[in-house]
Amino acid sequence: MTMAVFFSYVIFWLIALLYVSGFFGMMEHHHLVKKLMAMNLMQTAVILFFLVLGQKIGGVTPIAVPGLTDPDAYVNPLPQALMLTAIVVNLSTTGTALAFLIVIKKHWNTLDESEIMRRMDK
Amino acid sequence: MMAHIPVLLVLVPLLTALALPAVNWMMPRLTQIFLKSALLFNLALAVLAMRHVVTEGPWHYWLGNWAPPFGIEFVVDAMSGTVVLVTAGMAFVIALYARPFFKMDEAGLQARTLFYVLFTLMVTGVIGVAVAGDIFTLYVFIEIASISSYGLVAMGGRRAAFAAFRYLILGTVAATFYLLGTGLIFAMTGTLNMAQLSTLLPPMMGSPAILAALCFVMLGLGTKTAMVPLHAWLPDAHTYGPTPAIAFLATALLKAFAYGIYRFLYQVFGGHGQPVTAMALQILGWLAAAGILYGSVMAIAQKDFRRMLAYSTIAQISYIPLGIAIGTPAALAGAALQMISHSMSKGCLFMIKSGMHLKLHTTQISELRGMSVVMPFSSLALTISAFSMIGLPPTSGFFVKWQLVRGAAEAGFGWMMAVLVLSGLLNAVYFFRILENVFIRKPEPDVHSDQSHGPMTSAGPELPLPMLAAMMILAAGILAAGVGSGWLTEHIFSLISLAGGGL
Amino acid sequence: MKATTNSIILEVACRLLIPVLIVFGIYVLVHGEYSPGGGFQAGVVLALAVILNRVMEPADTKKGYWTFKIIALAGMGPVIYILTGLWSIPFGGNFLEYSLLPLAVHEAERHLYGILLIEVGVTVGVMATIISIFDSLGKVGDPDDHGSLL
Repeated sequence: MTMAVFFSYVIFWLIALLYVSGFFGMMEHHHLVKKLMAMNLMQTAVILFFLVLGQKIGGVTPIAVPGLTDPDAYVNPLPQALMLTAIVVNLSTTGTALAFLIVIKKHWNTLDESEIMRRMDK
Repeated sequence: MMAHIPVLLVLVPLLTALALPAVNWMMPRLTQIFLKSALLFNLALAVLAMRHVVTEGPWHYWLGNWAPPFGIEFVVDAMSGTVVLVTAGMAFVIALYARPFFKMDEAGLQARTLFYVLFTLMVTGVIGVAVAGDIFTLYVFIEIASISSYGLVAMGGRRAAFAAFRYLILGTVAATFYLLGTGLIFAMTGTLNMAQLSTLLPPMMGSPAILAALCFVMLGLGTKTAMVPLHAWLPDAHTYGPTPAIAFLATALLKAFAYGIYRFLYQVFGGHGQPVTAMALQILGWLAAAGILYGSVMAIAQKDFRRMLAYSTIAQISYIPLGIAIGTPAALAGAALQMISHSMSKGCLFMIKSGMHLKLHTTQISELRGMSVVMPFSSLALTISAFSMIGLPPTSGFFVKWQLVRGAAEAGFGWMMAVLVLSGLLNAVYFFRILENVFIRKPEPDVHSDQSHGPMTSAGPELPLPMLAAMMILAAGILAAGVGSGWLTEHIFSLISLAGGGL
Repeated sequence: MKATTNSIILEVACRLLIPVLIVFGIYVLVHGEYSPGGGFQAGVVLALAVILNRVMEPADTKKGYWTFKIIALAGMGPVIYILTGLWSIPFGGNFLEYSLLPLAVHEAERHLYGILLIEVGVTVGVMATIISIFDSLGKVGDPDDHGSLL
């Protein structure tokens, strides 16, 4: 690949790096809160991926500027609207997971996954 | 009002879930009546929708009257009508069953209301998955159903919170995979509507982006429908969660995601006509067969009734991807019939299991001896459900296997026929062990008579009446679906569309 | 507003911030379809105004704010949304078809009012949800609650 082609895709490489780090972090860590944070990292990577899809060269934010009526001058607002929904879904999931962690901590007094699994099998 | 049924199917449970806390705060006595009448109304709407689909064909409903791709549309066709009908029916029956179940729990009335709120939200999500016509709307409803189910599983006590957390992590990773696949499809085609995608995608099926999208979407939906090897969340969630929630989860939720697999592979990605999708369907068939054998074998090894039911669910739910993979009309009819049959059988088995827990204070299989003496109706329901899982006539489970074997024979997959027969035999091993304990073995001699065998000698109905009524409705339904499976196949399942290109 | 708090800095700052937050939240709600803003953001800002009131409490307070009413309010928010969507059905439209709402304005302006109504519903729902999350963190649990999560 030529350098120009590589650099035009560098944002996708970065998003892929973020996604894979989140996935690896979830497998690697034993602490439940760190797993949760890695999951959030994965979700953020997907949101960024969607937002990149709507970008145009020289486009402005999709808020109506008086006098600018050409639709090609505005960035595509559809991915941004979709990702607003996805952000709220992530909020609900994180809130639910944190509520579970509070109960787990109260009951087992530890947040280490291998420790809890060892005790659950007893 | 009849013209708005597709959106009312989703709105009625949603309104119920949202208004239930306010109703409970202002008029506590009306809570149960409100809940049950709303779910009964939803069941009536589902029946009307099914009738419309059978007489007039698939139903497209545009929200806000905006045409796609600008607007969201809801679609009801033969397969999604089946899923909606199963979901609405199971929701109503389980709501009937849930109230006496909770009388045994020490939580207060308001806390129980929160259970019903989450339950009705899950019903909304599942019906939404069935009727969604865009791939992003499908994601939103998948997450509504899944987040409600995480909360519901966690309500089962202290150990359930950890099982629910693991379920949450796996489920959210799956949803993230699905969203990434959706993003790739959107990047390549610029539209999210399924009917438009079925015309836009075939020319670009060879590109790596669409191949990656197919893999991601299948990974996401496969995890959520508990296909082997992505099933690890299921046994723990089923063992520790509260029974009404798990009954609904195991029946309607997994079916809706299996329906999602069908929708994607046949309508968005083109079915057997595209070589990439045909290979994906073949891999799906292998994984489904592996799941059937794995679930059946692992179920034999379990001593706890709940965990055995969980592995049995893994085995039985894999029949649906197997039918989808084979792809002939008979196989798809078998998959649709399995949605109906397994929901009723598994729901009945879960109700019996918690009846056992309430009455006999145990869930170990070895302690079920002599149950037929104490709980005759439950034992009858257990027998009918077990026969349906094994596949004996005249229950509907036999007709499921028959349709699937016929489909496999038509398509030339002889090894799938062998897998189906073998799974019936394996199911027979663990179910007959239970039936032997229930019917033939006598109760243990009264070593600890007064404490634990008190219920064995009490007079009156064996379980509270709503629980018995729910069980009997499901058992009767299994027999009715079995006897009427020919009528169902001829009138409803023959309308299930196979290849892509509009509905 | 409380007279006794632990920290006077916190009290003064919150007294200044809370009215500003309320006004800003409503501003963000109403301007949602004309500039950045909308239902979710407004709900969070309004919830923050209420949560700051809780934050001002002394650290050893025994008062619990959790009631069941906040969940009822959280349910009523999206009910407003759905009722607005259903409002156009008796007048011949589909669900959420704003051009057929029975408002005495020009047909194109009805979209504006329709979206404003549903955003109000979303704001109420989000606000009540976030306040309930914060309040339930301070809920004192029964020591022997039989393991039930509720």
